[in-house]
Amino acid sequence: MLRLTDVTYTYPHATEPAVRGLSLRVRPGEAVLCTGPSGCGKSTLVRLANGLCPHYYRGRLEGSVTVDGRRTAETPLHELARLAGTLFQDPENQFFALTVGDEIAFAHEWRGSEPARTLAAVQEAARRFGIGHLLDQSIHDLSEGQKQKVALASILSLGPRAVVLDEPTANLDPEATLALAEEIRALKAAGMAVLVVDHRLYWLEGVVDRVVVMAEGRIVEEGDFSILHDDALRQARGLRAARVADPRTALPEASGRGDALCVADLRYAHKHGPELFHGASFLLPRGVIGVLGDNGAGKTTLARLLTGLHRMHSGRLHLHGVPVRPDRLLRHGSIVLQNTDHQLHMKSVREEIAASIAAGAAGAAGRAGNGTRPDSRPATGQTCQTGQTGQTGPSTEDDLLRLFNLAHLADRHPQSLSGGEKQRLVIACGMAKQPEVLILDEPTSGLDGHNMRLVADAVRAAAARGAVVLLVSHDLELLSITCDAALRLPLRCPHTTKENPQCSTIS
Amino acid sequence: MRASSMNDRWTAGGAAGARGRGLMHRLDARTKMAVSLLGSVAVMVLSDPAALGLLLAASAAYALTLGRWRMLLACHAGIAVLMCVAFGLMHAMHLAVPRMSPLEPVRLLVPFLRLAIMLNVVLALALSTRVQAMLSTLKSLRLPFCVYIPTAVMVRFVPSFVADVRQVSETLKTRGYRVNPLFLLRHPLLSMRLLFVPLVFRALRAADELGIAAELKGLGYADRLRPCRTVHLARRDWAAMAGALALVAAGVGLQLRAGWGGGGMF
Repeated sequence: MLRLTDVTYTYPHATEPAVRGLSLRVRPGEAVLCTGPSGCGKSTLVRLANGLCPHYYRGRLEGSVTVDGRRTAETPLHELARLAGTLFQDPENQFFALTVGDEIAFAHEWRGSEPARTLAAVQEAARRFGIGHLLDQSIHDLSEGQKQKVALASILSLGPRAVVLDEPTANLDPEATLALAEEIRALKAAGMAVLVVDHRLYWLEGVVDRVVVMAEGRIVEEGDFSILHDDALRQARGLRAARVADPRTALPEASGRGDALCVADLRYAHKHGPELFHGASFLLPRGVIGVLGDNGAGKTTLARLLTGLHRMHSGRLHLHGVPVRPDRLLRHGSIVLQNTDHQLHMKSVREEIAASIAAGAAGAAGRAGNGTRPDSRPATGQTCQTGQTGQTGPSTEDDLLRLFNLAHLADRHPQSLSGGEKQRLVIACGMAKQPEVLILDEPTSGLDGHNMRLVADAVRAAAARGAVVLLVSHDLELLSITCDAALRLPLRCPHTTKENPQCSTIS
Repeated sequence: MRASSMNDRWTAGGAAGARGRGLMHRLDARTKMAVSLLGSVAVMVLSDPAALGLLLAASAAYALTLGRWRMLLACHAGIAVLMCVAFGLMHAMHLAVPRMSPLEPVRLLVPFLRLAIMLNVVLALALSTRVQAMLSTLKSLRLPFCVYIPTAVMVRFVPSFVADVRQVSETLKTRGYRVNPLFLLRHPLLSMRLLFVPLVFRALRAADELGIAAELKGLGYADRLRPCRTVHLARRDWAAMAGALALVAAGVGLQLRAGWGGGGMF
């Protein structure tokens, strides 16, 4: 169904091929997983399979890629799109319309289908994926799992013979990930060829029939899923774990185990929505705390409330016993948001980190001036202390570049980096402030095993220096290797002022 | 842009939701676009203050059906401030250079009347029409792809751009930058960099992503789009358009009675 024979592909203006000598076959009713470290050529493989290389990206293609027996280089892209559908990491990027129904209908309308057939295709896709009630919903209001369903429904409504899934679980919670695994089984049973490209492996055991591991543009290992249980292979190739125990139930409750950060009587509701936090109070210790909860439970909202990006309806915040206004917490801490593109401004990676260090120093001067807390934050390039332990952390540009494996990219423009590199850079910028409170929102969604462990080590090191690290993540592997405790949402009103002397003082 | 007409809805619930809103939200996007177009032609050809005053009153009533009277009041207050500044400057110029004859206040009123009329009709369109409704309207016009695609992409890009602007400003806050007028004055180059670099790159990336999305949806398979639903205009739409036409005709009548001197600045 999907066949690559001795394929070498070079992007325009590139001196080296992105992939070389690649041969791979995915038969009808078969699912194949392709994994490997960042930059190994997985994305190029996806673009070769769906025809974007060479039709959209141009470049030089040697060897042959065929979909359902048709050579991609000689078949128009709109024909290929009907034969092989592609689901991207962020499905929102592939949405053209703004409501679910229109999005599913769009491809049919563009192809000039009979209106009655288009309507029937929309209704059938909606029924199959259980999204009939969402047809009028804006795509911006959907959860990540729902977006994935809509994108899949849109692709499958065209009746493709093969499906390519590009890091499909990067933004999914574990439950939506399992649902996707079931969907892949159903596609296989329907005789479809499925190619999955992903860093996360555990969810594909028992789902895929074969695994190929890529490195430096080549296939270096091939076999069934059991090859991924080889620790040496995973270490050598920077892969993630093949089996992950779900740590969400095992992690102890964070609230009440320490008094570094206290939130009292938090109330908040989205506009026209029900109250998300109803007088919630909790005390958090130093260490890494996983913020857990279903989609829509308010994990990201809580992070935004604590940093003043959303305004609390009511509530009080205390850091180490000192009252802090939420919009001032950022003077003591950092939040790293999901979308990296919006967070990079400077001309080089080094300048980006230097600017964050300088902004952190200015913030520290501000809070010292406010007298909220004694602080001795130094100027850029010097070393400073943080938290309560007195340990020093990486605070110069060079320290951070080394810590996040960005030293070789120091002079590159931040916007020219790959997704994983950008993700490491924004975390480095967040840590440049030597924060007492560090909030990370899905920091490892597109990272391979090596870089995920690198970020995990940095997070653990920040916690060891005395920071309160709040980790909002669906990444079970990251949660299991970093978290000391969990803050579970929805927050009940558990810790009354009587139970928490700290909050009682505050009150 | 907000929710609007209901005949572009997929589910009974969606249509019921649209029906529950005010008249302006229930008008078809094409009707509101036609009213805006008619309004812009009228303000170009009419210059009689009485005719423009009639259209201003009618357009204000039209915009007030939105129920956003505070916003309308604020916008009109802004126009009133601009008008006062203009009057003041004209008067000062006359005092400084007596040879310059003073402009009659009624004549100076004309450009502001035009501005206020356009504000009313455009606000009514923008605040009551979903971007998706605009896209559906463009679709129903069955334009050739070479016209439809750039227009649709432009309209489709609006919410993404608004979201990008919001996220960039949030990011600056999280990084510790306080971008306010004083910061802009003190660090103009840094401000430009902080505000525009991410937006430019996001725009380029969004363009790339939309291009890929369009290619993978089968762009180029046919030369014209075939909408799956025909959106019919309701009676209220025809009534609104007829009303708008009648008002413009009345305005032209008033202008003719006062002596035609159409067009021009004043």
